[in-house]
Amino acid sequence: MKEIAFIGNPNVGKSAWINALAHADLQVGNWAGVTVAKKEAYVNWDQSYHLIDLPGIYALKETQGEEAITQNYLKEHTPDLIVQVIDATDMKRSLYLTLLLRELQIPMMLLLNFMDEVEKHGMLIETEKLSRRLQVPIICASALDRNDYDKVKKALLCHVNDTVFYYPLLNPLKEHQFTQLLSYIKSKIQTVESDAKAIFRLGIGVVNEDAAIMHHLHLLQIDDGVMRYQKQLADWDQLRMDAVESMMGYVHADMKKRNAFTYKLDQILLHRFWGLPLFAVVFFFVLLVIFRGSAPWTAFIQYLIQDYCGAVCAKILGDVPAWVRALIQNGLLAGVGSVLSFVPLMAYMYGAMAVLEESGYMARIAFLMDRIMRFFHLSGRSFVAFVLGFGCNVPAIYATRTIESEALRKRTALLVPFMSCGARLPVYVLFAGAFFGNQAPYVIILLYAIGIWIALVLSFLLHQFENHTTKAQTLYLMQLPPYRLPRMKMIMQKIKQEVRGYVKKTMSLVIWVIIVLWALTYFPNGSLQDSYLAQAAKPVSIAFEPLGFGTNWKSVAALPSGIIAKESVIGFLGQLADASAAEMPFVFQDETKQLPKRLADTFFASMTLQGQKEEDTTKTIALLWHDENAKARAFSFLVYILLSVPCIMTLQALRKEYGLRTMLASLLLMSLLPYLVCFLLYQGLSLCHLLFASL
Amino acid sequence: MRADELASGACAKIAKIDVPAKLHDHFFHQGIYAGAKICFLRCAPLHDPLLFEIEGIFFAIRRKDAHQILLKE
Repeated sequence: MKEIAFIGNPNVGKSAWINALAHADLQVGNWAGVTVAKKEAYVNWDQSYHLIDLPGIYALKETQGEEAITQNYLKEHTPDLIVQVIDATDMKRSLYLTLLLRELQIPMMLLLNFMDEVEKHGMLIETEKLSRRLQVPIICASALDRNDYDKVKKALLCHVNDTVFYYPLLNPLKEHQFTQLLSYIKSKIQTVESDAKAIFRLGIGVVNEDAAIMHHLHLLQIDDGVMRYQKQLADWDQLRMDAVESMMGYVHADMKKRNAFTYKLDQILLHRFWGLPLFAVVFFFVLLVIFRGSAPWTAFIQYLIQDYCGAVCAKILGDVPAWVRALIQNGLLAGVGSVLSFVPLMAYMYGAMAVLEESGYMARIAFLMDRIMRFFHLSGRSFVAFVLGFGCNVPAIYATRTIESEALRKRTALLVPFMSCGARLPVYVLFAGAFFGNQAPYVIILLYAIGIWIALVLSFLLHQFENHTTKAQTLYLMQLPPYRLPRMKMIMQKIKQEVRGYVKKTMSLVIWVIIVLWALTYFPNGSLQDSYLAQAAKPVSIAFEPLGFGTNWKSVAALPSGIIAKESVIGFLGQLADASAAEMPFVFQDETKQLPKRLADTFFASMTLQGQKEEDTTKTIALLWHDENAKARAFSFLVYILLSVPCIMTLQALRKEYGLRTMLASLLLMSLLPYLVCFLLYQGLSLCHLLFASL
Repeated sequence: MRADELASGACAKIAKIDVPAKLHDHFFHQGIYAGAKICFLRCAPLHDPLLFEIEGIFFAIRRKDAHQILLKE
């Protein structure tokens, strides 16, 4: 099977291309973080091909971070073809990488992307001359143009069988010196390794001062001999830059024209006074769209699965044992229904994040917030990770890779789970809706604020424990991409990917949790009060009474399910609620006729950002606590959910990125902290209530 | 003259990047090297970081790091 690797600078559109070429065959690693996943595909064209998309790099020297992935991959594998995807509007840095890749002596092809922008800005690239100079085929395309897909595919098939030998681009003097180096090596090495490519690699290793190659030469006892040549060619990197400069002669671009729009927009969005307030407005608006736009769809799906399909099932099942019926309706349908009903929320959330990324505004957010973040000993990039964390904690943890120092990375990653992820939102919405009615949105905003505030305070505290002796050699160098209008197609692609991952996870993991939990609530005899879960939860909930919500064991019982996935809490509570819901007559024919109208209403409500009307489940949740302190108890419960142990996927991400110790630290932190905070909170609130009541 | 001393809208050429060898590559690979054209655009709302345009690419650099970029007179 032939292997084709897609390599290039960050943000050149590699992913868009591998998506376009592989289509449905694309496999994405478990969590597609922003720039992290090793996307690959196995396709069958004229034969089997393995396409792989490697993380963006500027050079091949990196030994840590994402770039190391690409570096290590190329060390261990030899693809049959390297496709370097290039942003045609930013050729200089890409050409540098081209020269580095050529030195690997692997067949290459250049794919110039963003050609639509090249045309728009009146740029001209003399690709034929460039191609001849580099000895590499060049193809121009735009990932937005379907017609280009075939063109690119044909080019791939054409060149995947090439055999090549790339000569470094040097001036005559240096070329002579390099040739002498290669001759010297050849003369000193026995026949086994006298293959031209192998000698070339050794020569390149010498000028690059590659440790592995120097060691190899040491074993062959010629490392002293090559020293002379190494000194002569010590400016190899500068020679590469010279070659790039000369090749840029074939690129006729007016950077001013390309950047004109960005200059203008940055005047407004990065304004000294208005920049931050504008950001606050944008952020608020984005949250509004996400929550109000998705809520009608959530309600619709809940209706569809639980009510409509529930009735269908009831009809089909007919005369089955009571527990089977209960398993399917109250276990499976209710549970899965509540979890799947939040797909719209996920879709909106990821869509919003994608728009912010694609447009280029995300980088500006980091720019605006950097100084403020540094007050809390964090970084502008930490803020971006936090923003991502509001969608889902897992990609946010991977996003911490770009942060400047190791200590900062770890600390940010520990704090990410305090950003209320999308999965916690359903719990907030349900509870706030049940106990706080019209004030629900404010309560929810307060919860988010508490999460952020605690994270910032913790940042201060944790910073004190860090090793300050190593005066951090950190460098903050962040590229702000030019503003681009986000393309609907790209956004949809990203949303589809993330939603697919979410649904897969739900189906594989959460469903089992729900079934097991349902069993624990049903058996031994179908009554909730006598169930195994109740028996276990009741004594445990005594420990949670000082926190307010422990007075009802159901809330405590729901907590462990949150470790599997935060969404499980809803599914679980949904089951508990169903057990006490009154049976409403369901007239099948009428409901079926109403379906199209319901759909249309949902669409309209979503477009006009109307949000959700009151739900039946809300009413049953409201029964959990009903003394005069009910609101305080509910709030305490919500804060507990906010601060408690993150879901398994997040813990897994922490472990993969930062090791077992960090994961355990997070576990410990988010077990003790919520207990303490909720204890103080509830006691404080009920005390206030007492004081005010007596006034 | 150093990069953090440029007036808004002013341009110059980079003379030297005064950082430890380890960090040199970081600048170099992103296209920031001796001889590159650098223009100062604006600073963030709290005067830090600074926004530069270097060879047509926009970069956000903190004041203390920008101070290490020496410019040709």
